[in-house]
Amino acid sequence: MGVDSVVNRCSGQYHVGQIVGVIHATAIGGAAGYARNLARASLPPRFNRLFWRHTEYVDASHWIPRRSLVRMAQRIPRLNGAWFLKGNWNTKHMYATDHALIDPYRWRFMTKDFKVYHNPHNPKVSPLPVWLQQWKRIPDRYQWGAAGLAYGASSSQCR
Amino acid sequence: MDIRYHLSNFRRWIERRIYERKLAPLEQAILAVLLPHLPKILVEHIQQWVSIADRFLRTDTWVGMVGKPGAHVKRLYLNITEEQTPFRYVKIRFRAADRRDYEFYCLLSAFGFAGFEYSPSCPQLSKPPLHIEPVEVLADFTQLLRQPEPIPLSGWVAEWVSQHAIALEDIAPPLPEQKVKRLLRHRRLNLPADYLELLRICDGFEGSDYGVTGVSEMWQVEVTDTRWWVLAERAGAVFIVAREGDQQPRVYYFHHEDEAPSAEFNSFREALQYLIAQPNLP
Repeated sequence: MGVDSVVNRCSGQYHVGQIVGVIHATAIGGAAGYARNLARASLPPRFNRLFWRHTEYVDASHWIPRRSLVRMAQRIPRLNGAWFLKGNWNTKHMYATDHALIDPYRWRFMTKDFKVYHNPHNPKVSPLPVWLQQWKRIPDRYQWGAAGLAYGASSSQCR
Repeated sequence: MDIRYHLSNFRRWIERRIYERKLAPLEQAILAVLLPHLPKILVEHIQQWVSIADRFLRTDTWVGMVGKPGAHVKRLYLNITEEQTPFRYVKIRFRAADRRDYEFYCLLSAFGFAGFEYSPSCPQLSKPPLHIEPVEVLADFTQLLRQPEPIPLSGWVAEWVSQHAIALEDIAPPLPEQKVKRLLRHRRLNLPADYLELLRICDGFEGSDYGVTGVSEMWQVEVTDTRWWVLAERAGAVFIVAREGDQQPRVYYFHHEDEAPSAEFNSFREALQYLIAQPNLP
């Protein structure tokens, strides 16, 4: 716009603008992640021979395991509520196959056929590295929010 | 280490990746020969399956499919038990591009088409076969085909089905009593009387977001050195299980994230009620 020469980049207002921009980018990223998770939650079942009656549903996967939250809630009674233990803040929706491959506790309850197909000796479906399992567990809103934060922060550092 | 062995494995891995989203040329060529020999109803069923396939699952010898979300293929109800699954219905011998002979099977299960099988493992997916021998049908399809008939319901199961609007097709017919007894004894399961009553009436059913597995469909899971059999599940998160070798006739409520069951019931119906009453899953 040709006004760069009159912008005072050292002023307090300029810094406030930068911070607001970063917050906006983070919030938009987080909201997009939230919407993506909602869209995933409403995905219909799909056919999969490896599941009971050939039907695979969408699971809600916990990022922080529920058993850890229960233990924490036992120590801090104020946390002992449905929102903390079962709330959306900690869940990510995905098909049961994806869930079982990143959560050994879900894996235990899979059918025999599933375990035979996804056995460690099948090179096509070898176990995911731990860091990738952890990455896939993180709810979309945090991943996308972090992406928004990175975008906002890098934009504010451009000039 | 033999470098050729690793290169061959790598090539097979790449081929599987390439043909993950579609049928391989080898399979297309075999299906073209196979389909005219199958009953019309099965041909339509397989073609529907292939058309809705989102991904082909491949092991060294088996090819299965995962459907696109929401895509629907009408089930083909067949007289095939879990013990017979996967059921080899048709066999084709063929000579692949590597000049070796292989066998190709079309597999069926109680709900219709269940994939393909190679014997031995065939690595030549990308090239059509050199020669295909005549189709060999291994079973009489008219004997296999089963029309879902009204199952006479009674007792608490009848009440449950009418209350929860469960479709007729989703109720499996009961197994012979001797077979049920044999399977339960073999699995060392001591189950509540109302679950045994359910097994006399039907062999499991599907509800809205939950399912009750009959004796032919229940599967075993191992948690902390204890064997459990899944009798019902809801949304892949919570389960009703029975413990192998239990002295008392009882069932347990198990959240998949827990180390042990969180509730115990002497009645299966009560456990099922508890399962579907859990708010705000997971």
